[in-house]
Amino acid sequence: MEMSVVMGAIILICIFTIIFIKQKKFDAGKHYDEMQLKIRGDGYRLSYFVTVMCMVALSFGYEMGLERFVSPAFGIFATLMLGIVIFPIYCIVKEVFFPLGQKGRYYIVLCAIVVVINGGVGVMHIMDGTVIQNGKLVFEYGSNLVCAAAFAALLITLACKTVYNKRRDDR
Amino acid sequence: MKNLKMKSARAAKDLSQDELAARCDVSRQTISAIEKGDYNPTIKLCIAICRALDKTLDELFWEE
Repeated sequence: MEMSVVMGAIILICIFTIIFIKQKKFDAGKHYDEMQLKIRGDGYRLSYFVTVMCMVALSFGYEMGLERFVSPAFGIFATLMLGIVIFPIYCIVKEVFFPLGQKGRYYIVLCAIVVVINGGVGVMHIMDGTVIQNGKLVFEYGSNLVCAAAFAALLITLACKTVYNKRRDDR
Repeated sequence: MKNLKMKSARAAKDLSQDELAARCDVSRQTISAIEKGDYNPTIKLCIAICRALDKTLDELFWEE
């Protein structure tokens, strides 16, 4: 693996660790109420089953020759990202993603940063022609696009939900 | 089943769902779901709602 990828991963891990620790302190007084916890539990279950079903589908796909088009590492990563992103999208739709009293601007900014960085790197890889090698989508250069797409889906869901709530409140 | 008793008790106190939710330390969606009958609160939350609305458990949550 390239040194730049390793360095980028280490920097990202450090950034997210710092953000996580700061967020823990910031959220110290905040909590989810009982109904929110129940719905979040449903979200975890949905996310788990989607991940499992997608992994099974992926296995069948590779048995049928999907490996000609998608490298196994990319396939597994994309499947895991799908399973991971299902939970926050479900929670956003059910209005249980943010704890009581939290507006979520911090998360929106964070998602936007992740989309921009990963999207930018992904576009560069597409222009370099490194995303597809020997007719296959590869993990090393395609993972950024998957990350950008996942976080973009979160942002779009947040935006749509905000607009919907505003229209509902106006009515 | 809708909880009309709770809704009318809340209206009698001139409280919005947001205000009642804040007093009970829950989200507005939870109060809305309880009133619509979409969610059964725990006894702890029932007691909190009764305290906020100055009613007894029977008056708000007993089904006739």
